[in-house]
Amino acid sequence: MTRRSVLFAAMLASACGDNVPVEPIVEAMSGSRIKVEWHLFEDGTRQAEKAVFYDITVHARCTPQRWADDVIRCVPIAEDAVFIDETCENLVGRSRSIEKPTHFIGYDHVDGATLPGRLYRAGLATTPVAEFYVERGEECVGPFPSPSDLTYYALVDQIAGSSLVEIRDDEIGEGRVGLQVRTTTEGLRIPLGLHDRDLDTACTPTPRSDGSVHCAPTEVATATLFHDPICEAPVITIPAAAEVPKLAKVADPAGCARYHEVGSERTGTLYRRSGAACIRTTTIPLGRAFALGAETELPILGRTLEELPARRLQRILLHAGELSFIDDRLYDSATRADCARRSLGEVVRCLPATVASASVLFTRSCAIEVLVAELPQQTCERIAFATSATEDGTTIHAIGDRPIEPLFQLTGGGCQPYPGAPGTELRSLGPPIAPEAFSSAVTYGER
Amino acid sequence: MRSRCALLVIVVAACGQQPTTLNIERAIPDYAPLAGGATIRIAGTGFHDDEAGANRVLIASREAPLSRTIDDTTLEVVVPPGDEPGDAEVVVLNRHGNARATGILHYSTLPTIESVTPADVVFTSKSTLMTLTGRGLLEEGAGQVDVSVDGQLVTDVMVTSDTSLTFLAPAGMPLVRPDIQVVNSRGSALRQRAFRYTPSVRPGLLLFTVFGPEFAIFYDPTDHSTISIPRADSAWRFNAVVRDEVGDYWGADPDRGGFGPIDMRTQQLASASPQQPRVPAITRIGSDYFALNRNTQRFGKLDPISASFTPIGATIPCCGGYGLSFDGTTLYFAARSAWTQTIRTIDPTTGIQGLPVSVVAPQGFHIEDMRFFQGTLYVANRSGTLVTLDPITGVVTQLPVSPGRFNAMEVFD
Repeated sequence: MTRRSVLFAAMLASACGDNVPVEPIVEAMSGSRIKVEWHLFEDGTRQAEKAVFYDITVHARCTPQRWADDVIRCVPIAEDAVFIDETCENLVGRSRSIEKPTHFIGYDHVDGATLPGRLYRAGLATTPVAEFYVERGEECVGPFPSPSDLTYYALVDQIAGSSLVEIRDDEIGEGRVGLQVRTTTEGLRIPLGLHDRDLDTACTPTPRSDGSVHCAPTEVATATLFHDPICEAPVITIPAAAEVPKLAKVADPAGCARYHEVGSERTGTLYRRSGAACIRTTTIPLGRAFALGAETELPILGRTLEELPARRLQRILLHAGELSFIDDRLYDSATRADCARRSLGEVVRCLPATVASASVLFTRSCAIEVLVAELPQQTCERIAFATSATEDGTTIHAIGDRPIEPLFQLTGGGCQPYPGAPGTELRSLGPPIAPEAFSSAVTYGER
Repeated sequence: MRSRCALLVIVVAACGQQPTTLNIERAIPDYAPLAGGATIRIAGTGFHDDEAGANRVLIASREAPLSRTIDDTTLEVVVPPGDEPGDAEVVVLNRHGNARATGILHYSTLPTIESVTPADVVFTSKSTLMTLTGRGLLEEGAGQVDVSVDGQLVTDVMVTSDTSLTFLAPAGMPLVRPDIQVVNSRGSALRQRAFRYTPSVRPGLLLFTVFGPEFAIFYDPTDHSTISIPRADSAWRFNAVVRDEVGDYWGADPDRGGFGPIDMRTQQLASASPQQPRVPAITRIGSDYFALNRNTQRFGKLDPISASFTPIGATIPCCGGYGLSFDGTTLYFAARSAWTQTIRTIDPTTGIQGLPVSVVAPQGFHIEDMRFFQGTLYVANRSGTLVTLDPITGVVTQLPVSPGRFNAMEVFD
């Protein structure tokens, strides 16, 4: 199988017996041993977890890690095993956060790097130790003090590292956009992300204001300054020692990002926009500035919704050439916007993918707090919600209209009218929306 | 049994043929804040079953940012902002069609403040229980109520009903009329000049100084006590002060801003006047302001907006010891000339002056300002004492108080 060989997933069983051709969709798929973990939403929609799997042979959740033999394997999630004698012959497992540990990992030093090299099954809890030793090559080094508030476990069995399943990262598809997939020889497959081969950069599906989706580079510098006094020639600025990025983005009048190659270096005065004005700014003393080169056309992705009427959440199918795959985002028909899986408190929910950050201003004299969101006057995507970090966690609020009364901020000079950032407008926020308003998910997997 | 089964089959078959009806019955609760963002439930039918699909909800023509289908009879909706209080039409759209309803949901009115009692609070008191009367203080999801007095958050608010709450007034600056703001989940309300911080529970005289460290003192003629009104960080010095028809004090400081209403928070003129006449004595009769102009040595009318001075009648004696006060029927002015302090009447319409009455006082007696208070004319004089003066006989009676030299005097009640 070649590196770019196309892997086809299960066919969507939605043709209902007619002769409508069904597009093959690359989906997450468990192997015979390494199983996919799923996030199952209330309405039955599910999404694959990309980072954590379950090894039914070892009976442990595992993550891809480089093993001491330089092979990426699905290594059980476990805490460390340490030696307790100066000859490095006897081991215990130390548990900091895992309540019922099943495995412990011993780490080896390989070419200056610390890598997992030994896997042990956990036994019963044992006597705490005050100090421990580690192997460094042929040496047994220590003792080092060991915290007394940890729980220590006897180790009953060693599992050969070579028995852990090897994981490979591949890229499939023949067009400009490749789909990166994580696979194992025993059949696991997880789509990871997208790769723009023309720009040789990772990219992510990004909705545009016209409803289309392009694959936007994930590593890109943002131009916020200008090298002309009328603020029409944007530049990016980077620290002097930083590597010059290949791509830069700048917001167009509609608030959407446009992507450019990075052009020639610029010296001299830089300018920034302040409302409608273009004003001088101090050049970053140790930084470098680069003009923007030619605009880069990004690959356009096709986007369709699964449209299962009984479901609130709809999976988003993306298409790039002959490839069809599932977006990380879901479409939430309750908010009529994309949502993304995030933790809200202890629960994973599908929260609006694009949210503003709430900030606190005040009524006159700064006596009473007012929660607001400061939005760009032009946004590429509709922003309907804002999040606020409180002592009790994150809350979500609907974004309303502009505040009726002027608002104030506390500064070194006291309570001053809040002027607002250039190009933005303040919006009032509603009360916190109950988290249950957003679909929750539980995690499950084959065992 | 066979006939019952047949009937059931017929009923089921008939139901299966009828299209699902989308219907809105009520909103729970039936109110929402005008700012939106609150979550309500809409009860009805046809929201989920028979492939109803996603429900879109419009409230008062704006689409709800979130409409969550609980089941076929219940939607949970985050209400969008409204444009005005009152009934809001609710529209639900899904694959079954659309349904609309009025009279089931309204945007709540914003809170209001209609009155605050008592009207006066002694500025040093922290135990005065205030009663605020208004609307929208408790019901329809008003939630927590924050009350601020001139920007100072009040911590002991007790909401007693939708139309009333109480709080303890914080201490404030004397003579200030603070604003009260109420903020709750329904919105906010502001009442400017909600009450007045007073120097005392009794009426008396306010004495303003040009030279002293304090801004003013309050003199209580009942017991001859005085209360200091500390000076804010202000360089303003008022050489004449007069009270307007609503009880606010206007001052003259020709070196800094002329004549205008005094902002008692800053103890400066709230706004400088276009003209800055030198008027060492001002008084008010009804809505008319009268003054003595030192530069022109004329009596005349003072326009409170422009501070322009319009002379009336002949000149007045040169060159100091000026005072001007109205006892309710007669206007008196005082002047000092040729080492003699006199007082006389003056007709505010014609400027015709009465015969001067020499003030019977020690040599050097020099009036700074004077005011009638409860029928008695009180005089602040340059020697720093306070006296009463009989404007008919010129007899001066020393009062048992020596507040110091004060240049302006006005009644407080």
